[in-house]
Amino acid sequence: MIYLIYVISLIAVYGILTISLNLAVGYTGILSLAQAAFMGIGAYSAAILLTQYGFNFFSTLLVGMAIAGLVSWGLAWATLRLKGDYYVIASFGFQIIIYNIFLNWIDLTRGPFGIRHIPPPQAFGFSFLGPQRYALFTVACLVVCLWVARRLGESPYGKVLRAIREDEAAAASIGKNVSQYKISIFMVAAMLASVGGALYASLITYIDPFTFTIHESIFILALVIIGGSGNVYGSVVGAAVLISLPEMLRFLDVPTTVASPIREILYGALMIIFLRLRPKGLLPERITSGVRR
Amino acid sequence: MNRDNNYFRVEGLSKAFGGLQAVENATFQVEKGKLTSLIGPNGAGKTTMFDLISGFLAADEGRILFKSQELVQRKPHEIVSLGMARTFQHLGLFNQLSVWDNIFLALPGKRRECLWGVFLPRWFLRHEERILEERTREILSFLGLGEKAGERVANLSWGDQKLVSIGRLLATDGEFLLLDEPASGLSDEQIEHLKSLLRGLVSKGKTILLIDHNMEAVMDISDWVIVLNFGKIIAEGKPGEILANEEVVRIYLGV
Amino acid sequence: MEFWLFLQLLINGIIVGSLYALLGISFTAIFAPTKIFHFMHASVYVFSGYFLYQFAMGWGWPLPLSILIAVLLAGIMGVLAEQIIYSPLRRMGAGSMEMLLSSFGGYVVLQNLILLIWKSDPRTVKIPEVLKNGIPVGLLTFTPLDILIIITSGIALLGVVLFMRHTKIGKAMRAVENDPMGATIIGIPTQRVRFVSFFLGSILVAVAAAFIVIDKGLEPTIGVNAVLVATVAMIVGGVGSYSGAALAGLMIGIAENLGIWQIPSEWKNTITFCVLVLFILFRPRGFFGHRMTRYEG
Repeated sequence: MIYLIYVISLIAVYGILTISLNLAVGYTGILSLAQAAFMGIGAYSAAILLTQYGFNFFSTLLVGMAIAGLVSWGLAWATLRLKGDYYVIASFGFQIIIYNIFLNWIDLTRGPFGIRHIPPPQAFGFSFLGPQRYALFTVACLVVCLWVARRLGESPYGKVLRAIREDEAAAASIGKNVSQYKISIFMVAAMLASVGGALYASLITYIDPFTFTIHESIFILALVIIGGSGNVYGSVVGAAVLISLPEMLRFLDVPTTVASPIREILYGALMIIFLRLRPKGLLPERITSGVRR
Repeated sequence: MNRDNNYFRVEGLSKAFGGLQAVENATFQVEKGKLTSLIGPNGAGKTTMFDLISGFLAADEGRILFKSQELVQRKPHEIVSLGMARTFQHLGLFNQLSVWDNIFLALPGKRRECLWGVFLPRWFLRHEERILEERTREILSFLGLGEKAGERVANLSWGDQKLVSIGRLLATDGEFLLLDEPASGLSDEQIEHLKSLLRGLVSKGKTILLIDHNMEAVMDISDWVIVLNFGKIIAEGKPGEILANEEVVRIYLGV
Repeated sequence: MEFWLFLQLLINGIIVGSLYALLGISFTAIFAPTKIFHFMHASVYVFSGYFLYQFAMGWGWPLPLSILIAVLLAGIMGVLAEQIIYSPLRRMGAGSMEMLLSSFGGYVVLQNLILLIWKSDPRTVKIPEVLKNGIPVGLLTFTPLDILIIITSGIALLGVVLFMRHTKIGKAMRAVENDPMGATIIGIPTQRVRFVSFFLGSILVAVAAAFIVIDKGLEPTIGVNAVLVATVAMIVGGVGSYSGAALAGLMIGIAENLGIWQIPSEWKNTITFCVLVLFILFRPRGFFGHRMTRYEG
C-alpha cells in the first residue's frame, strides 16, 4: 500500500516534469534536450540547501527556480534564434555540460557519491514526512502545475506560442517578437522542471548525477509525445502509464536488470509507434477558438 | 508622379546566396498611397526582395528607407511596428487555429499578450479586449468571413484561406502592405473581387507593393510597375509604358 | 622534459583526433545529403562494438573477419534505420522534429537491447600483443595500433573525398546536399543516395568503433559521446565539408589532450562541448560551411 502511494508521488513528480517540457515542445515547438539538466538544478539546489544549510523547502524551490531561470535565459538567448536543428544540438551540448558539472564539481555536489538523507518539506511547523503526506503534497503541486499550464495554454500568450509553433516567420510578420516569446516560455519550462527536480529529491531522499543524463531528457520527451504533445492532461496520463509499468513488472518479480531495460524498450518503441501512427499522442491537443459574437 | 518622395526607398540593395546573385544593386521608390507592382520571370528575385524589405533576410549591401528609417538591420517584428506588413506566398496561416484567432492575433497593441497577462483576472483590461473583438468582427465581415469565424483554417478552401491572410494583413493596421502573389490559385471571379478589394484599400490611404504573375490583373490595378530580371531592375513606369517596352515583352515571351 | 610531454600529448591528441575525424566524416556522410540528425548513429556505433566482441571473443572468430562482418552489419543497420524509421515518416510528410524524436526512440530501444543481451559490464577485445607494444622514439611512445589508426583515418578521408568527387553516386550525393529540390527535378535517384549515405556513414562509424573498442574497451554508454563528438566535429568543420569535419575532429582530439595539461581530465568533455556551443553561437557555419540565413523558406 505504501508502495502504491510512493508510485503516485513519483507519477505526480514526472507529471510536473512532463508538463514543463510540454510547454516548450508541445505548445511552442521548441525541441529541447536539456530538461534533465534543469531538473537536476532543482534537485541539487534542494538537496544541498536542505542537507547542508537547513533551508526551508519553499526557499530552496525559489533558489532552484532562480538558478534554472537564469541559466535557461542564457541558453535560450544564445541559441533560440538559430534554426531548429542547431538549437537542439546546442541543448544537447548544454545538457552534457551541466551533467559534467554535477559529476565533477565534487566540492559542491559530492560528485558520483551523491547526496543522501534529503529531508521532506516542512511548512508552518507541519512536516510532510511520511509517504501519505508527501503524496498529498506532490499531487497538490501537480494540480497547481496543471492549473498554471491550462491558464497559459488558453491565454493570448498561449495563442501566440501556438502561432510560433505553426510558422515562426508568419508570427514575426504580424509583429510578434518571436525570440522573446521563445525565451520566456523556455524559462518557464526550465523553472517548472527545477520544481519537479526538487520534489524528486525529497521523494527519493538520495540523488546522484546519474539520474540527470541525456537519457532522462529523452525519457521526459517520450512522455510528452506519448501522452500527447500540447495536452497537459495527456502528460499526466503518459507519466502515469510509463511510470507504473516497471513498478508493476517489479510486482511480478521480474528482476530490475531486466525490468528496467524492458521499460525503456517499451517507451522507445511507443515513441516511434506514436509518432508514426498517432502523432497526437494519447490525448490530443484541443485549442479553443476565441470567437466572440 | 512625384518621384522624389521620402516615403519608401531602396538604394543599391544587393543580396547573394553562395555564388548566386539574387538581387543586384536595386534602387527604386514606392510612392505613398499608390499601388506598385513588382513583376518579373520566375527566379528574378522578387520574393527575395520582399524578404529583404520585410527583414527576413539581411542585405549584403544597400539601404532600405521607410519614412526615413533605415530598415536593413532590423528584425521583422520591429519593421511591422513601423507600419509595414506582408503576406507570404505560402500564406503561412496558423492552420490549427481558427479564422478568428488568426486575425485577432495580428491586432497590434494587446497588453494582455505577454507572460504576465496569463495571470491577470479576466475582467482586467476587458475594455481593451472588447475593442479588439469589435475590430476583428469588422474585418471578418468586410471579407465575408463572418460565418466561418470559428472554423480551423486548415479546413478552409484556398480562396477562403487567401481571404484570411488578407484579413490578417489588415488586422496589423499596417499602412504599407506587401502582398506576395495574392492572385495565385484564385478563380477569375475571386480575382475580380481581389482587385476591387486592393483598389479599395488604396483609396482608403494604404500603400501597396505587390508581386504577382497575373499580368492582366497587375496592369489593371497598378499605378506603377517595376520589372525585375536576374535580380536587376530593368524597367519601371506606368502599366501602359511597361506593356510597350520591348525588352520586357522579350523577357516574358522568352524570345 | 616539458617539451617531450607536450609532444607526447600532441601525438596522443592526433591519434584520438584521427578517430574523432572518422566520427565526424561518418556523421557528415549521413547528415549532409539527408539533413537527418541521425541520433541512432550512436546505436550503430555501439552495436558495431558489441558485434565485434561477440564474434571475436564470444565465438572465437579470427579478428580481421570479425571486424569485417561487424562493419558490414553496421552498414546494414544504418540502411535499415533509414528504411524502417525515417522513410515512413518522410513519406508521411513529417518534419525534422518527428525524425529526431523517432531517432531518439530508436536509440533507446537498441541501447536497452544491448543491456538485455550483454548486460552493462565493460568488455574488452583481445588483439595480438605486438600491436600494443610501445615503440619508443626518443622520449615518446606510441604503438603500432596508434599508427594503424592514423593511417586508416587518413585513407578513409581520402577515400570519401575521392568518392564524392569522382563517382556518379558521390556526385549525386553532393548535388542532393546543395539543392535537394533541384536534384529531384533533374532525376537524381534520391532513394539510392539515401541508401549509400547511410551505408557509408555507418561503415565508417563502425571502423571507428572497432578501433576504440580494441584500444579502450567497450561499454554500453559510449554511443552518446561518440555522436556528440561527431556532431561537434561536423559543425565546427562546417556542415557538408568532409575535410572540415576531419580537421575539426583532429583539432578536438588535440585540444582535449593538450587541455589535460592544465585542466583536470574529467573536464575534457566539457571543454569539447563548450567549443561546440561557442561555435554554434558565433560561427554556426564552422570552418568551411555556407552562411546560414535566419528564416529559410
